[in-house]
Amino acid sequence: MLNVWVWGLFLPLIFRGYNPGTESKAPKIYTVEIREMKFVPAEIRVNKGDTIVWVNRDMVAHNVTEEKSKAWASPLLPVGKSWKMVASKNSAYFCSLHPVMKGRIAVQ
Amino acid sequence: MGYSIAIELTLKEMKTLRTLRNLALAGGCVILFMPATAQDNPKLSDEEVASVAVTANQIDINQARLAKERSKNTQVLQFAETMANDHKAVIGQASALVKKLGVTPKDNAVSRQLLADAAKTEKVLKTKKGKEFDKAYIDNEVAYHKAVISAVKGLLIPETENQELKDLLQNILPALDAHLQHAQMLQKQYAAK
Repeated sequence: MLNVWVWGLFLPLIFRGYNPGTESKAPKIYTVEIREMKFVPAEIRVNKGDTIVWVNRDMVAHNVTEEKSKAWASPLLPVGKSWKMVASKNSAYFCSLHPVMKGRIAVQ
Repeated sequence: MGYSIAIELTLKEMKTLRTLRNLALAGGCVILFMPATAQDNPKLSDEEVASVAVTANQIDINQARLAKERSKNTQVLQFAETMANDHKAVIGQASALVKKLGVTPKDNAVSRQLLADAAKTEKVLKTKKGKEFDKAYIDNEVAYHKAVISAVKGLLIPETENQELKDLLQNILPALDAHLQHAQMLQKQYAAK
């Protein structure tokens, strides 16, 4: 009987992870479309740990490159291809092939 | 330096063509076509529109090739690479569409004029080296993209009958506009130096 009580208490902690205080938020996946030479939406608000997927739905190839110091960058994204990244901090980014295309990630 | 060259074309199916306007650019003699008003535009079939669209893209690919041969500036080389790749992609999509539609691009007065003007531009560009070449190439890219955007909006789209071809031309405009802004950005950098 005691065993059942102990397992009933600890099993949820084992399977869900130990999260004192508040319930953890499950990471979400957000999509940014690249079309008509724009990132849509141009600014995206996410939580740290969320995943952002860029999908190239344009006529030409693009990339996604951190603007200030090129701290991160996607490979070349041909038409129809996508690339994803886990958001960790605020970033301004652009397409280095078409520098007039700009976007922002705001991490809350 | 200013240039004013009147070009006259006579084709049976054309109305009076007072639409060829000349662009005179400082430092280079670049001549481009620019329709003035819709009613002055030449009448073009979808086959002829397709030919003009492919020719206009091919001209920019050729000029990018020239830039890659003559420039040593990283930004100019990168711009030229982007022009070559983007315009190749557009030609690829245009070719796939005309094949699907069973449209065979047909040579016409406008595409011939574009090629003649491009030959003159290339001749001038080939006389330049180093920074002088870079500036002339970028100045030409600004003027060329302005002229092509104007022609796509004012001539090619209105003249096109087929909706899919019209949509393709409409979809090309954002890329042309981004190229123009990119070229203008480089042009401003040269002006600031």
